Amino acid sequence: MTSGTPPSNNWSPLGHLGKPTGSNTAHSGNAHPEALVIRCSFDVLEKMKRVSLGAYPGEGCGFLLGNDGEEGRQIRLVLTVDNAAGEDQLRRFQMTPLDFLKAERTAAKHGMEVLGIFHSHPDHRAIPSTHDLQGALPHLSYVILAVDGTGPSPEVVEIRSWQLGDQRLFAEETLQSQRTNTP
Amino acid sequence: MNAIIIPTPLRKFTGGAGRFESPAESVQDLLEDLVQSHEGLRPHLFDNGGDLRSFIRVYVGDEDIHELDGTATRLSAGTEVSIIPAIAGGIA
Repeated sequence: MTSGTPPSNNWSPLGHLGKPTGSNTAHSGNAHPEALVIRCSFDVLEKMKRVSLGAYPGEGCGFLLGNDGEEGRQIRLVLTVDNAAGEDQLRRFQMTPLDFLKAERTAAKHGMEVLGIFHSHPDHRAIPSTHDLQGALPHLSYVILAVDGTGPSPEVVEIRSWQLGDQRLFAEETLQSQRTNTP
Repeated sequence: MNAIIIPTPLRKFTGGAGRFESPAESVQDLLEDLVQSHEGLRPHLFDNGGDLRSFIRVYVGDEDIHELDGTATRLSAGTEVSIIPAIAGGIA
């Protein structure tokens, strides 16, 4: 899960975790997102991975709740959501307006904000698709997990985070994980 | 006066405000007042053809405007309208 030597503050960069899988067309540009660094605790990361692997060959999804601070965006809570895409969930994910309302209420209850969403790309790279771009909202971090199902069991091989810039193009964020959960 | 509730991800375009008030008497006019006051919202609410983006849902009270008269839905004074995104995406 970590790559290279972990920095002294215990945060480690993420990205390619193994062999890349499938192919996607990146819909990204050079626009600067407002949160360049997004940090997830080990528990948050593991939950996203569990949901993504459990949904394979379909797409798993959920909301990411937390707080923005001077040192970046800290994700503290994962809200798993049933994929509402129905028969299309092998290649699509959908979260309903009611799901969003519930996520906003849960965030407020915990003194947090809805800061992002995560979803998996089964057998495709962790880069945004055209469909991801069409439905994207500003301000949110879009964490994508690439799940490779070509081995004996599905495996998360890439995790990357993106945010919509002012020109409605995705820019990649620096996604970091921490070994120990934050207080 | 009517009011429209702005979801958190779009509040960066309203100076952090979660509520916008206008005397507009239809959903269309209320949305137009909103984006004229906060122009940065326009590309996130409307596509290049000026239509409401498909993943942006608008509710009058508890009712989706798709079940009413769409953006032509008339508003009586004191109505609360909500913008709520339906999050969607995927590999294709």
